[in-house]
Amino acid sequence: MCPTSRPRQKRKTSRRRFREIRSGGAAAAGCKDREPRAARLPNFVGLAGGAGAAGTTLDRLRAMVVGTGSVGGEVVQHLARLQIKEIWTVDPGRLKPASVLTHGIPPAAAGKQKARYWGRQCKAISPATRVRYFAGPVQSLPLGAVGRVDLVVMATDNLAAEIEVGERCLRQRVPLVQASVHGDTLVAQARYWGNRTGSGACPCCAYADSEWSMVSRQTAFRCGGPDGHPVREADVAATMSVSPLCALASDMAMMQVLRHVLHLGPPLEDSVTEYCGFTQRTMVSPLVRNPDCRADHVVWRTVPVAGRLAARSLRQLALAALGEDPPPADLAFTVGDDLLFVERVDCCGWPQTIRRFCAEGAPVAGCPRCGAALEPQSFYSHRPVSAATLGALVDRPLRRLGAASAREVVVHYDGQAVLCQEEEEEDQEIEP
Amino acid sequence: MKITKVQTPRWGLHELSKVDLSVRNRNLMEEALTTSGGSPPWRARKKVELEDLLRLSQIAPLGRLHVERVDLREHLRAVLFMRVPVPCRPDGNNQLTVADFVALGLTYPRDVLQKRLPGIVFMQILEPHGVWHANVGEIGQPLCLGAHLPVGVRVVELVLSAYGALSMQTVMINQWDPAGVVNRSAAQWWQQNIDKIPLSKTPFLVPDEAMAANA
Repeated sequence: MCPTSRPRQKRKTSRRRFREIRSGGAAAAGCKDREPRAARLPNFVGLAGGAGAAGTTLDRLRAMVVGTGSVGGEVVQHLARLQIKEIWTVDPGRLKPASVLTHGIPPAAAGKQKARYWGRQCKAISPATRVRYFAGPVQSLPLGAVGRVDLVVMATDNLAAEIEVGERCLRQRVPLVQASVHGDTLVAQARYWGNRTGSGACPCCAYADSEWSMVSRQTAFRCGGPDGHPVREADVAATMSVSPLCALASDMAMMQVLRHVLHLGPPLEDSVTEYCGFTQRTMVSPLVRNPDCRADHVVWRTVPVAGRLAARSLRQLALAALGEDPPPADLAFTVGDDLLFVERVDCCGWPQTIRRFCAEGAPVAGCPRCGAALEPQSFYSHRPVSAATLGALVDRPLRRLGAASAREVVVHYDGQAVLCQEEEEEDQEIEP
Repeated sequence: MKITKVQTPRWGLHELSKVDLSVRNRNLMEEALTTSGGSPPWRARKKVELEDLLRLSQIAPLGRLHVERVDLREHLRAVLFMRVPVPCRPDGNNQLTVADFVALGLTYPRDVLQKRLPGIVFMQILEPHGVWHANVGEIGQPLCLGAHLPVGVRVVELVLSAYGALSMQTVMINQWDPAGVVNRSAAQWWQQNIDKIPLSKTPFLVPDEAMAANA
């Protein structure tokens, strides 16, 4: 018998979503609807169609900025000044009083959520740009989030986030630009990964033992967190730099963005551009694929699904993804953003069969003996889940398997993957 | 002066790669590999980890570690039987009961290659029930192997850590230290009964007295 019958509060899991910003707030006071960009856009050398073509391209551009700190904050402003179509900002942190030393912010901005703050600034600069923000870690983004944009710019000191962004962009073949600084040596870097085929490099390819050690050091857990869940703590040091170096890195990244988007100059290859303030030299070096890279260099094919995905069964989605029946023997599924397939849970020596999808960290059943709320247990929970484990459940609609909230499913087979995604974008939460 | 003889194991951990798999273990591995899923690098890594796990079971004293079942379809999962003293809930007279064996559910997820994972996700105690240990959760009996497991931690290390934790050769019972304590009641009890720690001083690769007698 379980020692203490501790009635647990039902843990509410709220899936974070992007929020759309409709107004620049106080920052937009006195601004016209839209300043004509053509009044300042140069006639780039070698660009077919001239400034008009550049404007058209920029009007269609959708970009995501992951990490809106001392470097990323500058990037989002540049993007807003280009009056692009969409800007998505992602950052879990808040501005601190010390941020004024490296970020382009007034002291009054301290305490505000970074992603939201810069989102509002973007909206103020370019009211016609659709702006969305996500105030959470990149690991919590919806599965196919980066597939909704044309380009990702990353400016984070958190290596775990770097790994996640690199993998997501490679999967969905979205070009990635990274801006970084090393304050002590006055070095600013801009890296570019084209991700055209998935066979190129990724951020992890360059990781040596020192980087993997830092990944370990930057993440710690407290096992005795609330409700007994391990609490992840990111131990990432603040950027030790001076503001002009941060600005320089963001500007270098933006040059890569412009070259990529407008096809200016020789075609971009996977490379790192590095400027050193001590020597005043700039070097460009290739970024090469590491055959022993720990990241999965697997490109996802995307298949749009009309209507509600949760109304389909996994077999139907597999057929849509693969076009073959019977399906491969190693077929497996990743369902939704945070859903586990829970086979069973054990308590008081009493196993309970569950066999449905449940959100991570959410209770799935109560113990009939001690009354404790039971959550998914690692040995009996699956993400991804194999078709063999699901058995006949592959023919049941997802909404009847506890996965009514799923809008994306990844079908895995033979070392490959297909993302089945609802055609209609999820309704965003709107901020006035 | 009392001299205690300690039997030197025939094989050391550094010689693991030289151990040939037994017929039974080779068949177990080959059968599991036929359904191994994931990208080619992940499948290759699971093969390496499983081989080392099976070799460890062979170099361990007879009865110390047995790999009962393996599943490589997504993560690496295995059911392990381990001979190790396991503290169970004290009886009405506050006398500790100690089981001789544990059945462990091992989960080795793909994410371990690139991320640091909490120490509580790898091992779940399937049997016995009512384990009384500061690092074993009351519900589902997950065994916390610590807050500082590195990225890419190996399966062999997890198994050895589990042995050390269950025999209480390595244990965290300070309820005010948030790392590793998942059963505060047990942590308090063990602080008051610290004279009972460890339950065994026998290293993993050395047979304990009962095993030596049966050998």
